[in-house]
Amino acid sequence: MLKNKKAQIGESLQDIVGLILITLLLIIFFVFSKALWGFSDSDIREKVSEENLRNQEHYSLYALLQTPSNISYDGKEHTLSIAELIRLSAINQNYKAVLEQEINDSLASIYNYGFNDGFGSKFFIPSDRIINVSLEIKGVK
Amino acid sequence: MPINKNAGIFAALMILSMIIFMTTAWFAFSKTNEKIKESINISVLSDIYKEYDRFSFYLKESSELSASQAFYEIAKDAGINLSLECNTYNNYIIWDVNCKPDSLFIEQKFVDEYNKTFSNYIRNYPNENFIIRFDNKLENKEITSEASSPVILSSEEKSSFATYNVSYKLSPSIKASLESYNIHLEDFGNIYSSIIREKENCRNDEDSVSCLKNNIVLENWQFDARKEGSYYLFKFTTKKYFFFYENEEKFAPISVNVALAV
Repeated sequence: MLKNKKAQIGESLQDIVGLILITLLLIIFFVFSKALWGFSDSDIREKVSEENLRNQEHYSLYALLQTPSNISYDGKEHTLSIAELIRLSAINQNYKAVLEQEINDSLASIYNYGFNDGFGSKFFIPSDRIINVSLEIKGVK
Repeated sequence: MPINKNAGIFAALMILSMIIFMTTAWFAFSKTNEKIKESINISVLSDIYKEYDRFSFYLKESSELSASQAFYEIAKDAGINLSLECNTYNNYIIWDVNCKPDSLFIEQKFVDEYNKTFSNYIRNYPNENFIIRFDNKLENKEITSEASSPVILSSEEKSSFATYNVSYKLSPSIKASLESYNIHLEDFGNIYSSIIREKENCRNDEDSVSCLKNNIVLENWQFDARKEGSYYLFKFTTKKYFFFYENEEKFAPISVNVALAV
């Protein structure tokens, strides 16, 4: 009878230890999987924020190209968008300086820009040839 | 056979634990996976939007340039159908009752010339996905360019979990009033009726040219007139400047040269 009681206690202890082990294993698996997915998550967040930055550039360029500017041409005052001014500067080289001045006045402190296929957002302006205009935020490569 | 009570409890607890574990794992995995899927889709869509945005800008610019060019082509011929075999005087087209601007012809010529230039610009677009045919029409002084077939842009994003394909179907179009481009096709007819009327009014004036200059008032044009032989020679130029091709690309006012028998 006494032996039987001891055996019962031993069996119960074995069950309890087994349960604790299983619970611990479950916790370890859960923490491990969370950490694993967690790293991927942060990678994706970085990618999206880079994308946002490029979008911001893109829409700023779109806005810039449509910004009206007042210029003097042929002895008359004209209101041209920056896109039209780019076209005019392609026709008449003297207006390249005017164009640069107009862009510098509004955006030079934030952006680098160029009439080429650079990094960053770009637009194509129809002309006798296509003029590519690209814009990138200073310091972002 | 005696039933082991503890073994029963253990088995029940094991089953319960497994259910909890499976549910939690499935929930965690599906949630994380959903998050990844969304993030990748947004990034791919953003590229597509940007590409379309670029094209929209190109479309808008092409439309305005094509309209300017069409306007120039009409003005160069003084709004006349040259197949009518109109007479000329010193390179000035002579307007008379048989050779005068016709609004239907002008509108048709505008659409034809617009089509020509516009399709050239679209052909030159660097992304071949957008090189499609556009249907252009002029209605109520508004020019509309609509893609005859949709543009399908697709992008593939590979991740360690899966490959995502995003396809986007777009139907590019643009609608603009000719007035917004400073183009007034009705002006050709207005100029004709105005100079015919004032020629009659100034018939008995000693200085008929000055009389014509003082009495012809046009909102969108300025003009110079002189008398040469038995003709009045008029040079009308737009007050606004346009981008157009005349041997080379120009930014200049558009001119109409016409002669009218005294």
